[in-house]
Formats: sequence, C-alpha cells, structure tokens
Amino acid sequence: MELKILNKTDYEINMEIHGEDHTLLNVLKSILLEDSRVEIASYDMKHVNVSEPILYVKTDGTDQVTVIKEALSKLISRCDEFNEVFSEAVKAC
Amino acid sequence: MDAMASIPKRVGEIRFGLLSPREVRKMSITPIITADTYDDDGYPIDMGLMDMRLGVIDPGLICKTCGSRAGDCPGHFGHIELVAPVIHVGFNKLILKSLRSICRNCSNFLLEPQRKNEYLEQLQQLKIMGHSTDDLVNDLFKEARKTKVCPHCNEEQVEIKFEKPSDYIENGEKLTPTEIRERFENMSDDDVRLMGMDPSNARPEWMILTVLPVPPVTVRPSITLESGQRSEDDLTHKMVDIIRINQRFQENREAGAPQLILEDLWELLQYHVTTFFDNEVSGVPPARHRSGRPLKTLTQRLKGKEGRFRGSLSGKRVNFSARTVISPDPNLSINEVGLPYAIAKQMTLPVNVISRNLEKMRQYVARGNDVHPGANYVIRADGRRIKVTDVNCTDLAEKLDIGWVVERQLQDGDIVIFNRQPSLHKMSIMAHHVKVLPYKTFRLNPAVCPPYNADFDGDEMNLHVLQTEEARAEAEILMKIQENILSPRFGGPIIGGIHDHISGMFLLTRTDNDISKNDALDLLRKSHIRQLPEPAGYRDDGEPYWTGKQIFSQLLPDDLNLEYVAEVCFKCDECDRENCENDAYVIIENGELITGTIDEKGIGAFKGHIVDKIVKEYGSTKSAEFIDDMTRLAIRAIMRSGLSFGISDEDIPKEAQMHISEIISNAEDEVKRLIEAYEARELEPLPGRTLDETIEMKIMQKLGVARDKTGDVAGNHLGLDNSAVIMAKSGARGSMLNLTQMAASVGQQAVRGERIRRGYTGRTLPHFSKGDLGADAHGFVKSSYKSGLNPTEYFFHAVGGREGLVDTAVRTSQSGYLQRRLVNALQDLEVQYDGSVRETRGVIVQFKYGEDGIDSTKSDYSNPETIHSIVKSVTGKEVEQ
Repeated sequence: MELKILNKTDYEINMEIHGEDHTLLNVLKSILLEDSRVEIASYDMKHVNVSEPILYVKTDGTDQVTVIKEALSKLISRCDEFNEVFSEAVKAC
Repeated sequence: MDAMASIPKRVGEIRFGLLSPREVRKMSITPIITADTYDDDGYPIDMGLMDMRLGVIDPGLICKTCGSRAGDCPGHFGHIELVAPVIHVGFNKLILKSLRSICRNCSNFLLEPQRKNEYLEQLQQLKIMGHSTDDLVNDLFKEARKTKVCPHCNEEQVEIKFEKPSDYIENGEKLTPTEIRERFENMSDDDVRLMGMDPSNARPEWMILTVLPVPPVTVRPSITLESGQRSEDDLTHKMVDIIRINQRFQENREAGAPQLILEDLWELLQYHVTTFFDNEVSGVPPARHRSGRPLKTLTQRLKGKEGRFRGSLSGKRVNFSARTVISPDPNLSINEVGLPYAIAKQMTLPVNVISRNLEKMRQYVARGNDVHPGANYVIRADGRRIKVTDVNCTDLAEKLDIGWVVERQLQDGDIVIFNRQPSLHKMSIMAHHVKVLPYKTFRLNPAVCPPYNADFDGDEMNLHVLQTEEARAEAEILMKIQENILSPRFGGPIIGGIHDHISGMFLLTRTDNDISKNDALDLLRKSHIRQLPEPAGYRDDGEPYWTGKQIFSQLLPDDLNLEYVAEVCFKCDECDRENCENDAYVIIENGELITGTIDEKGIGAFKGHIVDKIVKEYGSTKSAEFIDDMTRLAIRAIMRSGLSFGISDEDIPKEAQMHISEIISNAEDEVKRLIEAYEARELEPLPGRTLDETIEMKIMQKLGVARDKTGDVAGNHLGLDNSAVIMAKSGARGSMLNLTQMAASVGQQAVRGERIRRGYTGRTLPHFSKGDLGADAHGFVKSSYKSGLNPTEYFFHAVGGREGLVDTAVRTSQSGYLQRRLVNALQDLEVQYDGSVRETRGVIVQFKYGEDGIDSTKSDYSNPETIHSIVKSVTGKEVEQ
C-alpha cells in the first residue's frame, strides 16, 4: 500500500491510496460518516480499470487527522469484536 | 537516372484518340511471339511475355531497356501482330453507327456533297466556339442512316444488324472484321470528320485491331509463392491465350486448312481479345482461371467500388490510423476516448528533441518499444530512421541528442481525431483526448453517440493520430467534442443526456425527496462535488435529509436563471406556471432548481435547454464538465431505485380491458353503420372526393379515434409508477403509442396511407367475403401485442411492417444520394473575412452568409427573440410582446 496526500488544509484532506479499493474505503467512509464531527467523507475511483481511489474528508473544524485515526481504531476494534463473536459462535456450534 | 526522375514536369495538354497500329509498333520495344514465359532454368524467354526488356519487377535486377531498378523503371510495352484483324469490344456501338452511315460499296458518308460541306462548316464553327459537337454528330448519323441509295455511286444500302457479342450482319451474312476494316480504310478524311473524329488522332479503322499492345510486366507482376512456384497475373494468362490462338490460326492458314476451321479459330481469337479488354461483356461467357474463378482483366481493374478510380484514386488508406469496435464507458469524460494498449503501443507521434525535453525523451527511448509509454523509432539529425528494439534501446537513449526526433507512443492526454462513417456532418469527425485502457475496443462516453449517430451493436470507428503541432492545435481549438456541443443545424445542443440519463434525472428530481447524507454523498461521488447544501429538513429521528432537486442543483452554475416548460407538460388549456400540479414548469433561480422536473427538455441531446444555456453563457469547458457530472449523477440516481420493464408492466385491470373491447366494438358498429349508409347510397361524399374515397376516409378516421381512445384507457391505468410510462413521458425512449400497442390495441395497418386492399380480387384474404368493407377485412388489428394477434391480423401486420422496412431502405439511399450531390456542388464555398460566401475563383455566391449573417450556434435555437431574454437579464423586467 502506498499513500499520497494530494492536498490538505486545516479541516480538509484529499489523498490517493494505491493498491486499495472499495473493500477498505467503503467501510472507512461509512465509519467516518458516523462521526458527527465529520461533515463530508467521500471517496471515488476516476476510472474503474485504471485509477486508484481518492478519499476526501472534511470536518467541522476539528483536526481531520485525529478524526481519521479515531475512525481507523474504531474499525479495528469492530473487526476484533466481530472476530471474537464469530469464534465463540463457531465454538458453540 | 535519379536526376532524371526528379525533374518536375508540367502537363501541357491531354489528347484522347485511338492507338494506330503504327503507334503501337512504335512504342513497342519488341514483338512478342512465344506464349512461353520462362525456360527450364527459370530465365525469361526472349520475345516471350516476360521478356526482360518489358521492365523489371524483381528487386536488384536492372531493366534491359532503360537501365533503372525495379520501382524506378516504368515498364515498356511490347506488341503482338494479330494474324487476322479483330474488333475492339469497347467500340461496338461506334462501329455499328459508322457502318450504317457509310456506303457499302464506295465508303462515302451517305449525304449529298453539298450537305456534307454545310455540316463540315457547322462542325468547324462549333469547335472554334468551344462547344460540344456531340449533338450535331448524332443528327448526322441519324440523317445518313435514313439515306437508302448512295448519292455518290447509286448503290442501294442494306440495313446492318448487330448481334451480340460482336457480329455485324448484312443481308443475312456476317461481315468479317477484314471487310469492315476495308470499308473504313476507304473513307476520306472529311467523311471521318463528319463522324466527329479527328482523322489524325483517330481513324475508324483503328477500332478494328491488327496489332495488340502488350502491357509491361510492371502492369501484370507475377508473384512468387512460398513454395517457390511463380504465379502469373490474370492479364499474363490472357495474353498467353491470345498468342497461342494467334499461332494456331497462322499455322492452319499456311497449311491450307478448310475455311470452316479458320473461321472457328478467328472467332476464338476474337473471344480472347474481347475478354482481354472486358471479361464481363454480355453474351460472352467470362474467361476463367483453372480454379473456375473469372479472370480480372482490364475493365475489371478499373470498374466498381474496388476499381482503380473509386478504390485506388479517390479512396486511399492512410497511415497513423486505427479502426476497431466501439463500446460505451460512462467513466470517461465526453472529451476522452478509450484507446486499447495494443493500439497505443503501435501508434506514434513525432517529438523534436530539444534541451528542455532531452531527459524525458531519453526515458521514452530507454523503455523500448514494448513497455507502454515507449518509443518505436528515432530519427537522427541526419535523417536516418532507426527502429527502437529491446536490444538497442539503452544504447539509443544514451546517444539521443538535440535535433533528433523521437516517435513516441501515444499516452494519456494526447489529442486524436475520431470518426464514424457515414461522415454526414462536421460532428462526424471530432477530436478527443486519449485515455489508454486495457482490452481491445475504443471506448467512448455514451453521451457523444448522437453526433456520431453511433450505437454499440457492433459499430466500428476510425481514429487518426495528428503528426504536427499545427494540426494538434487546430484540433484542440476547433474540433474537440466540447467545441461541438451546439449543432449548426438547429442551434441547439447535439450532445446531452440520452436514455438512462433522462430517466435517471426524471426520477431524481421528481420523486426522490428523502435522501440521507450517506446517499447524497454517494450520488454526487462521481461528480466532483464535495459539499452539500443546507438540508431540506430533518426526519423524525433527527437525521437530515435532502431532496433530489437540491442534489441536482449542486451541478448548476451559481448564477444560472432559466424558465421553461418540461417535456412532461400535459399541455393544459391554462398554464399554472410555478403551481403546475404535474411539476412540469421548470424554474431555476440562481443555480437552484425551485420547481419542475428535469427531463429531455432540460438535459437531453437535441432538446436540452439547460445544456444549451450553459454552453451559450458559460462556455464549452463548463458545459463539458456539466454534461460529465450530470450524466454520472443521473446514472447513480437511476441505480438507486432501478428501472426495469417486464411483460407484467403491460398488464391492465379486467375492467379496463372490458372498456377497451367495448370501445373497439362500438367503433366496429359505427363502421358497419357507415357501410350500410354507403350501400344504401345515403352517404354524402366529402367535397372533392368520390364516394369510395369518402367512406374509406370516414372508416379510417373512426378506427383511428377508437385506437387513441383505447390508448387513453390504457394510459389512465398505467401511471407514472410504470417504468415504460416514465421513459415515454420523460422522453428517454419510446412513446405512449408504443405502450398503447403493447397493452391495448395495435390499430389499423396501412399501406401507402390507406387501409390494406391488395390481395385477391375483391378481398384481401380468402377468410372474408368479396366486397367486405369491414374493419377486420382491411387490416384493423384489435388485439394488443401482449394478448397476441389472430392469424389474419398477424398477416396484415406483416404487410404493414414490410412497407415500413422498404420505405426506410429506399429513403436512406435516396437522401444519401441527394446529400452527396449537394455536398459535391457546395464543397468549395467558403465564408470570407468580409462575411461574403465565395467559391474558389472568388465569385460571390452570397453577400452575407445565409443572407442574414447569423451563426445559428450563437443564436437561441435560431430564434430572434433571444433579445427579449437579454433585455430581461439586464433590466430585470419582462419585455412587453
């Protein structure tokens, strides 16, 4: 994975993430939007065959980097939670 | 000899005439006497058909006549002395006319000497004045033919008949070519002039061949097959036949063979010479190759689509072009074209190496010709072209220097020209930016289908790479898609939303009024829009929501103001404008869609008012952006709900079906009553019509009304929740008539605008009694496509359908020819800087272009009332009409 920050202001960020697709970005975008401090979170791939996804995040003024980091840890913890529940369910059956 | 070839020559004069035997011998380098081509060692035989003096075709050899190499040597003619004269097929008509107008005894032109002199003077006059003499000569032929007794020797004339392929019969006897030639030879020069010929250029006896020119080998090159065997050209085969028969004829005559055999051989010689010139003469079986394929001889080389004129001279193949199947790609901008890697790797663009791009060009060359943005050739400063290969690429990259030219491969952003035939208007050829993509088809945005008239059912398109800076600049400024959004044909946009774009916009701006934040961002994801307006409201759970109109408004320029009536308008008697209950009155204020539904009238190709306004007020770049964003938004919107159509969408309730059959049976009853009135002679004929015409018209009208009524019934039951109705009302595809025919009743089938009457005497089919004027007997189909047609209805439907097919076929070919003639006549006209339209010599055709000097793309749909909207935008007040 390779990441290129295209532009960044105090509360906005635009970045290109090489080697990733909807699998990661769709979840990430959804989790970001759950956060009330996030005004806009959106991503797009210019062309399905050749382009890399670009993620855009805009906050209400809070530091976007911390917001994204929080979203990422939220994602990890949710995966962990699922892992636990799943393992238990498998054990039980 | 190289110097010789480079001397420029100017054509001073072209003279058409017949080749005289003397001229044929003069231009011939050698007589050809043997039919064999090569000896056992594979060496060309002297005075054979492949004689080395006739020119060279094998590389490395030198021509024995002119000393040039293959390619430079133009080839040299030989000749065959024919043992007996034969007729040249191309002149059969002229030979017949000439024979009929000269005396069979003294060869004088069949006119009084005095008349002859008069005519000669007239001819002379016409020639001096530069007029055509054809009409006068034809009159002369006619007059001479009427003369029954020769005014010079009093010999009685006999009618000469022509029989295919080349026999002239006089008094039931065939005239031999020798006899015909003798008659022509005896003609005086003045008599030849009377036949419209110039005796120094063309004497009639030269139409009967005694010597045959043998075309140079460069005209009929032999091909060496892989097996090492030589395969000769069709013309060579034909020449071999002629020489063989010629020899046999001579041998037989010298041996004193009987007359009958000689005549047969003469006929055979005539046949071979005829097919040498033209292998498709009617009445002559075509000469065939051993495989059974007809030979391609002289006429066949020139004639037809793949012939020399249409195939090689008017139509040539060009370099730097590619052709493949097209397919849609909505991810591309309308300005782009998707180019397959395989093509991008082969097509190149020359780049001059200068100090500022030296390092960059080195990188291209270093990648070689197999890694994508690479280079295929470099041209050194001394003009040598070197192919870039895996082996020499690093070496060449190092040597690369200023002043060289690198032919680098196409890459993203290069400008190319894209074309689909038939190229009927200027929008058939437009410039696109390249986007290199995987797979093997050209990809284009479906929104640019209308100008090319393209679809994706297997259409192919051509692409050309521009080789000079000037050409690229011109294409960029004048030919790019975005510069051609407005069509000069009607002054409106020819590029805009199509099909699903329109349905999608319709659904979004009409029904989609509860869009969550997540969905709103998703809709706008592909459209470069990264902000949302204030929410339209909040749901019960406190979540904000937006309306489709708001989402669409994000694409509009902030200061756009527009008002128009949408396609869905029901055309009420009194318009409620912004309070329209069908949401059909569109108002856009400061880039905000206030009321109305966006449909074909808003964003469609041909009709889209919004597209039109944006192009005219905000320029082409903004418009291209808008069309890109709008089509992407529309597609995302239509995917939210989905739009599909199935057989059950044609279902209408039982009572509606009852209603429909009631309407139809009522109409049938009315028709019956009309017929009764007609038979009782109580029907009043309409003014200017016969009684028969009147009843036909009345019946047609009654049935037409009935079909429309059934349509209305069906329409009332199929509301805007029906996908076909959505498509029809928004203008995306199909019409309510299509839907009526599917759900309610197909209606009257017509041939030439009349009810079907052809068939048996007095009736259309044996299922009806003679003279039946009823609806079903003359092609009224009361069933719907869904319920199915009964056999007679099916038959009538096929009759009507076939007329439709024939009509379109005829119309396209006729209008194509009409267009071609118009373009041919007008192609050289040009608008000058002074505004006048002139042709090449500078002669004025129009003082002002179109006599009003208006550029339709800059006027509002060519409507002079544009001024009202300008006044309104400046003063803020409506102009009083």
